[in-house]
Parts: sequence; C-alpha cells; structure tokens
Amino acid sequence: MQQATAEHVYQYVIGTAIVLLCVACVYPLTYVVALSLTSEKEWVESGGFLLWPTSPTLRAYVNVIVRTPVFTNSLMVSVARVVIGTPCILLFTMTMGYILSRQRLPGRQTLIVLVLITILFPGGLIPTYLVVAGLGLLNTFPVFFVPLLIDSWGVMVFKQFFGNTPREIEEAAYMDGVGEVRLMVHIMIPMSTAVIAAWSLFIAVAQWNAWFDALIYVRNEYLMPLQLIMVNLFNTNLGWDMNFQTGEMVNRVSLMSLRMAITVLGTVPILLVYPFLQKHFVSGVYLGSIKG
Amino acid sequence: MPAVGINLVSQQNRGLIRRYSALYLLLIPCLAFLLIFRYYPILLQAVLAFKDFRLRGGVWGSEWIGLANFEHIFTSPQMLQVIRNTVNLSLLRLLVGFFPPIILSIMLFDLAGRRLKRVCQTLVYIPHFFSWVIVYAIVYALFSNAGIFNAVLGRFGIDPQNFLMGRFYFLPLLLLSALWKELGWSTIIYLAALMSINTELFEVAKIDGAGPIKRIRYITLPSISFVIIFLLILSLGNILRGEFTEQILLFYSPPVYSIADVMDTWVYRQGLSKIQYSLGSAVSFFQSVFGLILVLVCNKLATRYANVGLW
Repeated sequence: MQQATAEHVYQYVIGTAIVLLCVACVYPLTYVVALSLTSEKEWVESGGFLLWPTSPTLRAYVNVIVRTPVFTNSLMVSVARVVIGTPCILLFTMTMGYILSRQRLPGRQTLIVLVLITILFPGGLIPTYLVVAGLGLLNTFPVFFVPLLIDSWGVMVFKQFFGNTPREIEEAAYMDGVGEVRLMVHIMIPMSTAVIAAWSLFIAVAQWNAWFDALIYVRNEYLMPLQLIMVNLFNTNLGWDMNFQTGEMVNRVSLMSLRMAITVLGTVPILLVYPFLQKHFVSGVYLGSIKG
Repeated sequence: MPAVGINLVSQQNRGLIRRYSALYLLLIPCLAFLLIFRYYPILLQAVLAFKDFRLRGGVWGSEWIGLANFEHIFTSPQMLQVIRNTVNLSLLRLLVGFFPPIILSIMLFDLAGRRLKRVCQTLVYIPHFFSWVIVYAIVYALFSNAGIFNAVLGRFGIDPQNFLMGRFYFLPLLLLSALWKELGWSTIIYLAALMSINTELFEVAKIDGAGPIKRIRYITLPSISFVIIFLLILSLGNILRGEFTEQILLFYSPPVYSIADVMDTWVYRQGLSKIQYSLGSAVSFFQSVFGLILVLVCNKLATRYANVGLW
C-alpha cells in the first residue's frame, strides 16, 4: 500500500515537472507570436503587459513583407542558400563518406586520419578568412556554401552508414562488372535514402540558420541572409529600446511588433520541416550527428 | 624511377587501385577542398602566429618575430582575462547544462503517461533547431526594457531592470537561454541508453519493494553511467573550444566585455575586425594546440573509464 502511494506521488511529481517544462518551451513562442499580432495602440495601452492581443492585426506582417524590400531580398538570399547550398554540401560530404566506407580501398586509413585532423585541429577564423578572401569569394554568393562543402562530422556519419551495408552486395556487383561509381549511384545511394534525407534536412536547417559567415564575408546589403538582417535589427537598438517611449509609428505598428513579425517569419520554415526532422532523429539515424 | 614506385605497390593493391580508380577520381575535388579550406588555414595560422602581420607585406612578406605574440598573450592582463573567461564560461555551462538533461531523460523514461511523454518529446527538441538569433529575439521579447518581465516587475512597483545590458544578469541569461535551447536535444543520447536497459530489472525491483528513488539509484543511473562519464569527459576536453561564440556575440555588449569576452569572440572583434591578424592567429593557434591536447587526454580517459572513445 505504501509502495503504491510512493509510485503515485512519483508519477504526480514528474508529470507536473514535465507539464511545466512543456509550458516553458511553448510559452515564449506564443508570446512572440502575440506581440507580432499586436497593434501599436494596444501595445502602448498595455504597457508591455499582454498575453494575447484582443484585436489581433496582421499589419506588422504586411509592413515587413510588402514595405520592407530589405526583408524580401534577404528572404530570397536565405532561400537560395538552402536550395543551392544544401545539394552541393550533401554531394561533397556524401561522396567523401562513401569513398572512406570502402573497406578495401588502398589508402583508406590515411584518408580517415586526414579527415579526423580537420575535426581536431581547426584552422581558425582569421586564416580561413584570408583563404576565402584570397580566392575572391568575399561578397559573392558561393561564399555561403563553398567553404562548407565537406562537413567532417557528416563524412564520418556517412562512412559509418555506407560501411554497414552488406559486403555481399558490393562483391556481387563487382562480379557482374558493375563499376564502383555505378554501384554508388544506382545501388548504395537508393538503399540509403533515410540517412541522406536526414542529412539534407540537417544541412538545410544549418544553411537557413547561418549568419556568422555572412557577417564576416559579406558587406553587400543585397547578399545578406534573413538571419543577418535580424541580427542588425536587434543589435542597433540593443538594450536601449527608445522606440518604446516615443512609440515610433511605422504605419501604426510598434517596432516590437515588427521585430517579432520578422522573428516569426524566420522561425516558420524550421517549424515546417521539424516533423520530418523529428521522424529521422527519433529513428536513430541522427545519433551520429549529436556530437557536432 | 617510376618502376621503383610501382614495385612498392603489391600485386593485389594494384588491382584494387585499378578497381577503385573512378572513386579516386571523385576523391580529387574532395581532397582539393580539404587542402585549400582546412589544411592551408592550419599552415597560415602556424605561420601568422610567429609573424608581425602587415597589410603591405601580406602573410609571407611580413616579419618573423618569434614568440613575441605569445609573450603578449601570456603577459597582457586583458588576454589572460579572456582565457580565464573562456574556461569559466565553459565550466559554468557544464555546471548548469550537464545534469538537467540527465534528470529530464530519467523523468521521461519513468513517466507512465504515454501521451504526455510524446507531447513533451515533440516540444523540447524544437528549440535546438532555432538559430541563436531567434533565441535572442525571444529573450528580447521577454527581457528587454519593454519586455514582459519588466512589465510584471512594474506591476509590483519595481523599477525596470536592464536585463540585456546589465553585468549582473548577463551570465544567468546566457546560461539559462543555452539550457532552454539544448535541454531537450541533450536527452536523446541518454534516452537511447535508457532504452537498452532490460525492463525485467525494474519489474523484479518493484516486486522486491524498491521505490522509484531506489530504482533510479540502483538500476537507472548505473546503467547509463558510462554515457554520463563519456559525455562529461568529452565536455571537459572541449573547455577551450567555445561552443557559444555565436550566442555571446549576440548577447554581449561593451559593459560586459570584461566577463563575456572569450577567445573566439576576441579573435573576431579584436583580431579580424581590427586587423590584428598575427595576434588573433596566435590566440587561435594556442586554442587549437591546447584544445587538441585536452581532447586527446580526455579521450584516453574516456576509453579507460567509460570504455567508449571518440574513435
């Protein structure tokens, strides 16, 4: 009887803790959405104390999307980063991983060490910058993916994954006179769609979220991705927030609402692909990437 | 001459090289990438660290100055502070961020309600995929002068607090937002380890009258201790490698530079932006070399005590 109570109390305690944690995860997000839907008038009247606007308005979004060319341009840069950068990075990383997974390839051990060194001994920010600058990549679009073409952790994951496919397949293909490249393209890759899909999503999210490389390599406003525009939007007024007192009117939307509208727009793509991401990392395909 | 080279390669290897020739061809662009974007910077870093870089001379034309850069790093109070900050912040992050994922994964594992468990697992992983900019925007919404926390404080007649720029709040805000972002994601590896425990152990323990605390103490924790030790050693090995460069760049401001500047942010702000390439490279070189030593030592420890190594 006593034990049953202990079990009950335990379940009650962890249940409550987990519910609270879920709230702590979700509430900040809903608050951001609420702010993005609040009109200037309501924002000023509330004095910043607001759970959900009584009369939600999409004006902030209209302002951002229709009247802010910087935003629409940066959105296109970000989309281009994902659409062009992801396949290029995937191609190089996957190819390298595949080559390293061939057990009998002469020189394999040396190559693996060569990749491991790049993980253990980073070249540093300034030398990498000098190389990128020396190649004339500053202020060009390829700078967003060319320096990232081979992700060494990704190579290790692909190596592990392709290495686990049965040796018999490889040998049978070889006996039938199938070349190594055809084996890779027509047999091994179609067999590995799950891990490839997972890594594509992973790279795509990283491309969408990246801003530090743009901060260093790009001066041209038309090449700035959405995330960097967001950095500038928050950092110019870091902490002073004078617009709150004066209640700056940008078509009757507070600066706070504008900022939050952009934040929401920058978050939506992540939330859209999240169900697919979750499917893959829950099934364990992702585990190899956690250390990165 | 070529004949000697060919003789060194055995008959069997020659066949294999021919068989894989197409793959070697594909390897060329990959190796070119590694050489240009990964290895050449390492060389540049090592060279720059011992030179006095001038824009006019470039990397190769600048003067060699021996260990002067390192002398500066280890004697200037500002640089020593930066190194201290790096270690401090890493340790604090470990202290704040290491145990909550363990607790959460045990709670999720023990939770009887399947639906709540699934909902929670769906929600807590999400922040991991947000960029630091988005996390900063969320922190801004909550903690800026116009944020809801100050509004609530205002209701109680407390003056608005400068959460985002204040020295006092900087570290808690930095650490808690990092915890918020990574808590859920960090549970995955523990949950994977927990799944492999034989459930009969728990049944037997229950029949023997072991309560929840005793089960955690004697079954759950010992079963995942090797993962805990492995991850702990790994994080200790990464102490010099700031994994929070992007976060600090967004969160810090001049009033908190003295406690917030870590090696990576210093290299960006003082090294790259102010064209102190030599000094910046010397800092990265120091970071890479000592980071490597730390990782190797810790990996050795991990293989010895947890039986899992990085490779």
